[in-house]
Amino acid sequence: MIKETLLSAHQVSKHFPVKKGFFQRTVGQVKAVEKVDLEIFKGETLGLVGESGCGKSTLGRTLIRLYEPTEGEITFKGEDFLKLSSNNLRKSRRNIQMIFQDPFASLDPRMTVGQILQQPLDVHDIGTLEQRKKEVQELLTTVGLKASHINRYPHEFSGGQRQRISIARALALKPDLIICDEPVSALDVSIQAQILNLLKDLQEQRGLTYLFISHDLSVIEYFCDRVAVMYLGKIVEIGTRDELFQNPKHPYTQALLQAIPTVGEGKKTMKKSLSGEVPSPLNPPTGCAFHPRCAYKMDRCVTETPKLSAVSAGSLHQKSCFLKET
Amino acid sequence: MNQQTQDQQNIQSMEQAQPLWKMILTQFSEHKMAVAGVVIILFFILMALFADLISYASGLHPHRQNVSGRYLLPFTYSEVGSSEKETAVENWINQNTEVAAQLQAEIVGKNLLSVSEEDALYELALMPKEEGQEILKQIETVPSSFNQMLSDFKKFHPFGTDEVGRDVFIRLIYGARVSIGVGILSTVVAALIGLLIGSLAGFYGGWIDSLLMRLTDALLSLPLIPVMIVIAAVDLQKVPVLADFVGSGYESIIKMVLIICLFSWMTVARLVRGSILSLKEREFILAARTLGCQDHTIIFRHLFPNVVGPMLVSLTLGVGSSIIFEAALSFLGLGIMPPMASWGNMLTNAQEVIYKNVWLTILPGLMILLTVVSFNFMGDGLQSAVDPKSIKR
Repeated sequence: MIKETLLSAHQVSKHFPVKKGFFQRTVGQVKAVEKVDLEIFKGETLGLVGESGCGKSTLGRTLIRLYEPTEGEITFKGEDFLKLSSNNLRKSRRNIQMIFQDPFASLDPRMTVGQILQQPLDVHDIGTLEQRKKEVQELLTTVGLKASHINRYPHEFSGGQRQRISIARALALKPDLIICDEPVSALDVSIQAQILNLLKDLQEQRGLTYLFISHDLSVIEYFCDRVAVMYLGKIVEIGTRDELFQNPKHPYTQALLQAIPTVGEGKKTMKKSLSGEVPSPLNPPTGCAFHPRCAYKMDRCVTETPKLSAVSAGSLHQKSCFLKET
Repeated sequence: MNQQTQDQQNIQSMEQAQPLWKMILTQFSEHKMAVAGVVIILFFILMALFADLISYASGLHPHRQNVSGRYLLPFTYSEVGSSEKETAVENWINQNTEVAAQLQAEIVGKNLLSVSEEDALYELALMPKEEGQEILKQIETVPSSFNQMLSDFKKFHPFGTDEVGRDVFIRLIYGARVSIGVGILSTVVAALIGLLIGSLAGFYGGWIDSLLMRLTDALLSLPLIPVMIVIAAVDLQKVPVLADFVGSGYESIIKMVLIICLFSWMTVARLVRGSILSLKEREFILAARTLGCQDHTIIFRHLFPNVVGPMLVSLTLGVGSSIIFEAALSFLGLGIMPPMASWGNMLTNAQEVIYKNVWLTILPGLMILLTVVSFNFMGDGLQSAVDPKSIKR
């Protein structure tokens, strides 16, 4: 099966200047995303996993140009996404939507659910007023809410319901790609499953593509077709879910997978856990960024930076590590 | 099927749901003290608006002095002194020569007063009011201007009179005009300045933010009253540019508004900047952007409605403090200049007789207290009303 590329990022970086003092001098750069290559295929769910602060959300927001990338190229549906004028960008964004982490902050507290859901239709001038109103009601039922909720305010809903509203808003423009920025991490576990199932159903019905950002490996394993692992602004390993979970190649991925708590296996294995903290992205380590915490550290890891390359020839399973085999 | 029809009905009833302002109104009316505050404020504002009418109807004038009726107690009458009466009659005769001659002739002709024609009107004016009325009843046509003059000689003072015999009641009403007017006007202007500076600082950040906020901090750290006193002492007529704009009659009012504005925009600026800074990073703003909203949509649809609530509250509370500033400066003799009445400058002269004539202090003080407390309660009520979380169904 030949996969059609929906969005591809090439060498995308996002640096945030650190400013200080009255004159706002730039005293440093936080390299939140550093030279990331990524391809998202049509109809798949790509998981993006990593520790807090590794740049997952920044990458997600950069891909949709909420943050202007410092360098790199982003191609969406064969179109250079970065060269779009602000007007064309607004039109193009119809096809990429986003679901945010915090369902309490992502809905305007002064708008009713109806207004929130109608806004995307208003902005892009879709249909008549009657049609928009009808569409809003349909959206609500699609995500499992009642059409009668239309005049309520967001604070009158629970976290799970609000996330449903967020999803409905993202669906309103019938996008191809939805970037889900930790959509379930603020929710109860029981609610998480409902929302994940809703997202899965919607994907089947509408042929959606997801970029699913999460730090929860079990959610990723359940939900994603392919997984990319990020560490300190870089993708260290990317592959299909099975490749990655059964046969992780990068020491960081291995460490992450071992950190998943398991229940009832009966045997206690001494697991290699990660020691130390994530280094500051203000001043990342030289060479491979993971080397201060890596169990297989070699001399060249300190001086040279590994590139993301295929594990075996022609495979889409890629890692950025000098280790031949681990 | 049943479920569906029920849903349809629900939608129908929801479509007719109350608009937001109605919900806010309902919410506000639950705050009893706030409603009381609004009633009091409305009453005072109406009173101030119709001050001229009240003055006309009661025959009391805020600037008319009466040396023989100083420091009168509430619910008393004042009588103009005989020398003033004589001058008033003389003026009236000079203005209405023919009518006066007719009247004089009639009085003497009917033998109502046993004096010469020339003295008749003077005699009439000087005698007690009731006796004068008895005589006038027997005359066919009394000119209304003469009657008006006679009735002006004796006044009822519901709140007594002050140190130069001006009626306290009507001065309180005219004082409301100045005090509430200055309070509202200066707060509104200050809020606009604060909104502008705060949103500039919040939107653009960077050095603009630093500059504007350091300016704000600097002004906030000044000791208010001494600086206000110094600025209040500036003679606007001598300031080159401003002098053209200042009409002499309202100079002290304009100066008051300017000074209070100068020192009260900072809180609004900080509030607006803070709200905008926090809102800018909220995810619903990012969401609006991904939906394709343009900047103006984001500013007017998302930022503004979320800023206006807290701003409205601080504005209402600001009116109270502006009224207090005005009263303080006027009390010190630097604000509204007599003879124009303001609650503050009515207190100035009252302090000398605080033991003898307590009501002169209590009445303006009570007005200030009532107004400020009412505004504060109103702000309190607004605060809970504009918060969407407080809307109950």
